[in-house]
Amino acid sequence: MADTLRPRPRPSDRSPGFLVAGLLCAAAVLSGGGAGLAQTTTAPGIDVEVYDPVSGANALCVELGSSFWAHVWLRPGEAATSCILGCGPADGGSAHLAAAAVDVAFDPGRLTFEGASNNPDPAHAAVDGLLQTQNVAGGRVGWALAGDWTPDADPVTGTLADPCAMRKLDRADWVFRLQLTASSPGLSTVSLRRETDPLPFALSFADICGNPAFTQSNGGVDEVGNLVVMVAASCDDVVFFDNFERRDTSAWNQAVGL
Amino acid sequence: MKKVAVLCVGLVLGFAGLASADSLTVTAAAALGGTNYGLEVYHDNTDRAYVQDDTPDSETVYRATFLFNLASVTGLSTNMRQVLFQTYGPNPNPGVGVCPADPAAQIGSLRLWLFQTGGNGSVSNLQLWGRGNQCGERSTTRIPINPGQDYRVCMEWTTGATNTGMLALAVVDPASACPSTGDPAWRTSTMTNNLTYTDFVRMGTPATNAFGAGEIMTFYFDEFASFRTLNP
Repeated sequence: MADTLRPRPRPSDRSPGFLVAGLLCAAAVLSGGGAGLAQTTTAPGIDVEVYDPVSGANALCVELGSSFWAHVWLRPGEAATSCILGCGPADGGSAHLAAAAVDVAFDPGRLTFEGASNNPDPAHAAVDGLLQTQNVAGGRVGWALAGDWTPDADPVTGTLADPCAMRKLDRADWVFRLQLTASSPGLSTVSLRRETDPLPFALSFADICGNPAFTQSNGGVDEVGNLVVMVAASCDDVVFFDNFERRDTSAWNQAVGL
Repeated sequence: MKKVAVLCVGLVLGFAGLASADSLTVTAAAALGGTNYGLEVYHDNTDRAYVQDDTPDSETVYRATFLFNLASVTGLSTNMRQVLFQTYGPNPNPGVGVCPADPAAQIGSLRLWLFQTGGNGSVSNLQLWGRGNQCGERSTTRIPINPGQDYRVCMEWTTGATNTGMLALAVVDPASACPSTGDPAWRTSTMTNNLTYTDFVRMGTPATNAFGAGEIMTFYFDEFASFRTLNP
């Protein structure tokens, strides 16, 4: 997916808030499970992928000792619905996301974690993502979205916005990023953990209307992409690499026998 | 356990006569070296199944490595031989030796073979073959491998005039890097091959074996990487 396909979000107008349905959303997010569906590139569900912001690609060569950013791109789905809450009408469906649970894995033996940050673009203020960096030694960085808070991303002392008035995540953009340093030569993957992984993770999203969480197993999430990283002394010497962690043969020019 | 499951599926398909043509899938069963997924190639010698990389740009020095597992084997004849990886380059001498008459035809300049010529239960071997200017072939000595075991396969190839070209094969532990050039782990051969180079490569089963009726095998490939230098 090229960078040109990733439009910037429109400016958001924030609303004063009060505590409402955050916990309901979180519960819905955590309810995902079951077998995964085949990914597609054209279906209307939610897309999420890790990519190199410089090239827009899902593969990257990094020279030993160099640092790079891996961005996590999120495209909401196309199902736009609405519902009536206690506060009035609210936008819902996969096109208006209010909650998310995302976990990114990397190989700490090849890549050293330097930091992570949310998209700082004020136009992206609907995303009050909460970075979870307590497991970086194990090669994991989490990101949780739980509504729209004031102050931003502060569910501890902040206040959750009015669910009817608050901004939802409704535009495609990168939502958070990791900075990593290439520490050991070889192939590895910065991957989005999924329901179907050997150690399953409930990658999922939810709206404010209380619909079932959008997951891979129910088709609400239909494209999940990883970033394959080659660490080499000189990237000029690298011809090609692939470890099939994109879960297809798309990195190759041709595949006969699929 | 997952490899046992694949073996069982292969046996059932073989005995039931339901085997389909050679085919590719990306599966969790084929994940090697700690990854989540790998390339699984089902081989019954009725067709070809491979992935192709066109990135090489007239390379005169080429090193490739991948993880490999011979996951299941059945129905072998004493002529079992299968190409698992092949580089392609210009035809150095049309109509001479094993080179085709068509000057535009690409030849297999480097081929990694799997041999198990003693039939079922015999020792499997990997061997690298290179094609030179006069369209004859040189090879390394064979390296034995065990079915169901993970390996890192390393290949080197350079062009050169008057026996200064080189091909080399090493098979090491999957957690290890390829040995440095010149390390005793490499099986090497020299050749004269400065009229060809590497334009594209195929991995999987890029050719069928004329004597391979009845053989059914499953191969796992993972973590492919290639370089235009010998010691990346």
